Amino acid sequence: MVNLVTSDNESFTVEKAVASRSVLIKNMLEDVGESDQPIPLPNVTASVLKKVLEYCDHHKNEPMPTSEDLAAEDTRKRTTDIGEWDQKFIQVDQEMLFEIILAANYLDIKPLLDVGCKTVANMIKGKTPEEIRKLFNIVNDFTPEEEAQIKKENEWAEDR
Amino acid sequence: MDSTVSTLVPHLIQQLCEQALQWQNDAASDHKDAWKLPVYDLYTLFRLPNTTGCSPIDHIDREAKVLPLACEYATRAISSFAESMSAEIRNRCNQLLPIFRLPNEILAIIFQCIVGDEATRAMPLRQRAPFNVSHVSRRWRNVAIETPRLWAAYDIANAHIADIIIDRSKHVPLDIKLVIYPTRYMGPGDGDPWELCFPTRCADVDAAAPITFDLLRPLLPHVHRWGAVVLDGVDDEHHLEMCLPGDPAPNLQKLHIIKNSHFMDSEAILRIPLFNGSTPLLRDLYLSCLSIPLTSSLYTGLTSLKLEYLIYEEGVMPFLLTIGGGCPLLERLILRQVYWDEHPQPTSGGGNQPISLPRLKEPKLSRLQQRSFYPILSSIVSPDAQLYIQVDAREIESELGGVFPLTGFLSNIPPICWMYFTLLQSQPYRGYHLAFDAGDFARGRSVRIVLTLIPLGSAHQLISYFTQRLPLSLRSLALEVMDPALFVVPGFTQ
Repeated sequence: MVNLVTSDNESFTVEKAVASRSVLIKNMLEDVGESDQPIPLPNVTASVLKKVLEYCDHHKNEPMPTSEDLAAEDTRKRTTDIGEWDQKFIQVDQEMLFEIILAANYLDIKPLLDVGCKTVANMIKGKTPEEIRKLFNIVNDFTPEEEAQIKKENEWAEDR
Repeated sequence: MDSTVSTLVPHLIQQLCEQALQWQNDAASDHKDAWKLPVYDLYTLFRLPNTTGCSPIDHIDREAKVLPLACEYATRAISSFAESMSAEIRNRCNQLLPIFRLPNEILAIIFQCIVGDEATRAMPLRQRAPFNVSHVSRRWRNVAIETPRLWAAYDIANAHIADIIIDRSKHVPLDIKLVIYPTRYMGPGDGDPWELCFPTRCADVDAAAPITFDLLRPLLPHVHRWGAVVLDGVDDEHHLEMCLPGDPAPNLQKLHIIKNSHFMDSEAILRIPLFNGSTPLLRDLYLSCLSIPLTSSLYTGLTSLKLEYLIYEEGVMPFLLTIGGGCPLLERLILRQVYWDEHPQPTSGGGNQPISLPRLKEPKLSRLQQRSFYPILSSIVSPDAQLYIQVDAREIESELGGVFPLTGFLSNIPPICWMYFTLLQSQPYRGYHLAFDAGDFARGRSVRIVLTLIPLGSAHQLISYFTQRLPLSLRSLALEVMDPALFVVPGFTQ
């Protein structure tokens, strides 16, 4: 078992196979060898780690992505397909969604990062800039000069 | 002038804003005079130096002229600064949002997921995805512009701003898709050819005006960056020379050239420069109505080859031998309405020279001459292939046996243990489509045969033909969308 301590000082004791879905933790475990020392995770809060561990537990028996997989992903087109379980898992509010993505990035859990990114992509897909702003409460912060350039880029669409 | 205002204007605006903030915070003070304009001593405030030595009257005239100019400039400088400052404040506001916690590299991954999906009629905004995300906020715009993969797709929609696309896609191979004039017919063989569907005329083909081929011109200096080229409706010889130029294409992986007509003499084809033979990464080639000689180096290294609407002067066996020798890595081979001039002499004992394509997974033969099926099927040796055959019932010259080899025909196909029949009727064409999948479950190998455009009256005869020739190895039979009356024939009693 592995003991993980979150930024808000909460402890989670999990199976090694679950914790090792995180490449960061896996490397730490390999570096320190067998030890009872807790692993501090200063960038992850308890509520987020709980969700992340739920994901890791569900996928603990799946093969880890190889370096070849990761290299291939860089060259091929990315898609937005998400598995059924993952879709249900990631049905959280926006704030939690972004926290999960950040945690997956920090803990180096590539498949979870993918699920998070694809979920955000699906939220954005097919929306106009104004609709995207509304979705995330983003304010239009372009200067008049930038607006003029954007208007020029938009002209091709209106010409069609 | 710039240096004067760049120092003074921010200082002025900051001091005024600080004062305004103090007034707003100081609830006890009286605000009614806060924005009252000051009264100046206009006589002693300043006088412009007379550097030209002109008369005092002339100098006063010059002062009078230059003051409005200076005021206008000051107004514009203050206005511009205020607008930029306002944008900056809104930017700071955005930075507090949850989504702005995501670092740039993750935003870039998200953006790439969006452009990975093809646009459709139902979702046309997907085609504009890179622009949509780059028009949301300043930070998103910077991330989008610095993500070259977002800008790699070049099509009719964005070809008008070719310079932006070429610039932003930086070093990434370009994915070019230009429909010059849409292919006239959609039918079995287009899209997923193995689905049961009847040929349908493109609804808007007459309304669609051919776009100018000039849209390709901005890309010609960047042939070395072409990664995928799909050109639909290229008919002009000059256009073909332009889209298959003499410059090497070291990144080209996919080349689809769809002509609308056959008419092009062989000498004209030989004049096409074909990247001067330098396409080392080309893997996916699709030629429609364009018979580039099989000896061309374009074919070397292919994993997917689709040829359609072609007529070869040579026989089918020399053709196959060239393909076998030239494309040893082939995984997908699709031949649709390809004709060979020489009449092949089928040998029932399977005496054709074996052609090894060890990686072939999907040989698909669609609407070939009936006499061509046997030499192709009996020659290609592909241990793990899933075979697809599509035949137009109206083109069957004699008996079906030459087309539908149910038993003992191919060493490539294992004994047929299961068969799955699907029959669909199409009202507009008053005919049937029949598909049957057959094979060996255990080994996961199968053949899908689709017979299209069966006249209404012939369906019964056809079913009867199959049912009387069911292979003895058959263990499982499934029928879908079948009229049970069609199967009241002796063959099914086995």
